[in-house]
Amino acid sequence: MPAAAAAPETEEDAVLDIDLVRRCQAGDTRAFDALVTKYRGRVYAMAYHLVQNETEAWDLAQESFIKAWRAVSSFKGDSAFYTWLFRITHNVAYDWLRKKKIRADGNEFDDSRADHGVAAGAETVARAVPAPDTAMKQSELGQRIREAIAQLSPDHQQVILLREVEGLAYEEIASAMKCSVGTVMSRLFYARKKLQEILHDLRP
Amino acid sequence: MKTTPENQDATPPDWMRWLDGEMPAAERASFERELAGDPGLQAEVEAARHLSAMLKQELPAEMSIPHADFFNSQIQVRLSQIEAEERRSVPVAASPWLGWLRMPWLIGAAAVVVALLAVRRDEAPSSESNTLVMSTYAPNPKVVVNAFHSEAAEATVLMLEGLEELPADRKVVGWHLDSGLTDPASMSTAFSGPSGEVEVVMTRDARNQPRLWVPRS
Amino acid sequence: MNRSLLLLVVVWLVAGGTPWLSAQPVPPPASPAARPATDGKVWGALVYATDSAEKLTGVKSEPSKFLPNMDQKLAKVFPWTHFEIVGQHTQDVFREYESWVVPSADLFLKVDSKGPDAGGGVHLHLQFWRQEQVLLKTDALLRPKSPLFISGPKWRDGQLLFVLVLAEETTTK
Repeated sequence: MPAAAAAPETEEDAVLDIDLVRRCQAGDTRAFDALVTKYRGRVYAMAYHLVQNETEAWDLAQESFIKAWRAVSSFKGDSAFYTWLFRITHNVAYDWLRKKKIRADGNEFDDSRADHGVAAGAETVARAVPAPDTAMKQSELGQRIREAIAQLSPDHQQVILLREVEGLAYEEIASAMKCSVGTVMSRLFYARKKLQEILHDLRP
Repeated sequence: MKTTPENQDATPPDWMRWLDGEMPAAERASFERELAGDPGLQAEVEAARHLSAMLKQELPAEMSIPHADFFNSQIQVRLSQIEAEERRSVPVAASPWLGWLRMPWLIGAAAVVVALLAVRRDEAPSSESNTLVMSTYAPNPKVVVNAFHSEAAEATVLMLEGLEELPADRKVVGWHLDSGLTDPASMSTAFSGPSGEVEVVMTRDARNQPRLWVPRS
Repeated sequence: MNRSLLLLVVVWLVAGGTPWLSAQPVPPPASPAARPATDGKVWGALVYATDSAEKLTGVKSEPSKFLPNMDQKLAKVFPWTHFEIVGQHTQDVFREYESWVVPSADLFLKVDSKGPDAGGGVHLHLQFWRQEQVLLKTDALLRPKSPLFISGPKWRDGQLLFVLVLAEETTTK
C-alpha cells in the first residue's frame, strides 16, 4: 500500500502562514522576511529543477518572492500560501525559459517531439548506460532526470514537480495550477509516461 | 504541428490514484485484490513507483540557497525600492523643476527614508540603537545607493551599485593607523601607526582635493 | 626638517610634479597646541571580501576589538564568505575640524562631526572617497555597537568593503 501524499506542512504551519500573510497584506516587511526564510529553500529548488543553473535559479527565486510581495494583496487564501507561491515560481521560471528559447527547434514545448528534439546545450538523452545504482554517479542521474523533465511542456513539468518533488495532493495541485483534478490526473499520467519513455534505459 | 499534450492523454488508470494515495478507502480493497492477481498491472505499477522514487531521490524538494542571508536582505532592499516607487507614483504636473524628483540620488534617499520608517514602524526594541542613515547623495549618476538596516547582521548598510571595478593588477595597500593630526599652518595631516611613526601624510592640491603620500623612511 | 622646506615640498606636490601617492620626506609633527575637542572616536577598516580562502591576499591582520564577529556580520549582508582586513584606522572625530579615516588610499572617509546625539552616538557627515573621487556623501547617526557597512568596488575575485564603527563616544567637552 503506497503512502498517502505527504503534506508539506502541518495545520499549525498553515495557520502561521495565514497570520504572516495577513501581516504582509498590511505592509509588514518583517512578516514577509519570515515567509522568505521559510520557503526560500523550496522556491530555489523548484526554480533550479526547471532552469538547471544555480545563478539563474537564485535570481528567479528572488523574482518569485518579489512578485509574491507585489501580488500578496490578491492572495485570497483559497489555497495554501506555498501552493500559491509555487505557482508564481513556476510562471517566473517558465517566462525565463521561454525568453531563453531553450528549445532548439523553435517549437518551444512540443511533447510529441520529445524523443527527437533535444534541448539546446543538453546532452543526448537516449544512450546506452549501465544500471544507475552501480555505474552512474548520482549527479549524472539527476542531470539526466532534469533534462528529461525539460522536454515536457511547462504544465507537465509543473505537475510532475508539484506531485513528485513537493508531494502535493491532486486537489492542491489543481488549486496551484488553476485547473480541475481530472486535468491534473491526465497531465500527471501523461508526464509520467513520457518520462518513462525518455528514461527507458533506467527502468527496473 | 504543435500538438496539444492533453489530446494525447489516455484516461488515467485506477492504479495511479492508488499509487498516489488518492484512492478512497472503499475502492482500495477491491483494487488491491485485482492488483494481486494481475502481474501485468503489477509491473506497470512498479515501473511508475520506480520512476517516482528516482525523481524524489534526485530532485530534492528543498535545497540550500547560496548566500541565504544576503538573499533575504536583497529582497528587503527591493521591497524598500518598491515602496519608494509607489510613493513617487503620485501624479505630478510636468513641471521642469520637479525633474529633480527623478534623480537617482532621490531614489536612494527615498529608500533611506523608507528604511528609517520601516525600522520605526516595527518598533523593535533595537531600532533605537541602530545606526541611521539620514540622507545619501552619489555625485556620479551611474551610482545607485541603497540604504537599509540588516537585523541579521546588526548593521546598517550602504549598498553602492554601478561602481567601476578596480583593475585586477592594482595593488591595494592598507595601513594600520592610530591617529591623525592636522597641522593648520601647512594644512597637512600626518597619520601615525601604533609605533607613533608617521606612516601616511595627507595634503591638498590646488583644487583642495586630498592627496595621500607615504613618507620615505 | 624645517617648516620652510616642508612648504616647498607641498608647493612641489601641488604643482603636479609627482603622482598623487608617492614616497616623500616626513613632515614635521603638528604644533603642540592644545589638542582639539573631539566628539568621539571611530574605527574604520578596508576589508577585502571573496569566496574562498585561496583568493585572499594574505595580508596580516588581526580581528578588531571594535567589531568582534565582523566576518559573520559581513557574510549576512554581502555574498562572500571570506574577509580580511587590508587596512584599519582608529581616528578621533574632531568637533570643529574635519577628520579623515584612511585605512587605504583606495577607499577612505572624510568625517565631519555634527555633534553628539542626546540618545547616544554622534551625527556625522561622511564623504566616501575612492582615490581622487567622491563616491558618496551621506549624513548618518553612528551609534555604539551598530556598525556601518559601505560596499565598494569589485576587485579581482571579490570586493572591497568599508566598515565604520563608533569606537568611543564623546570624550571631551
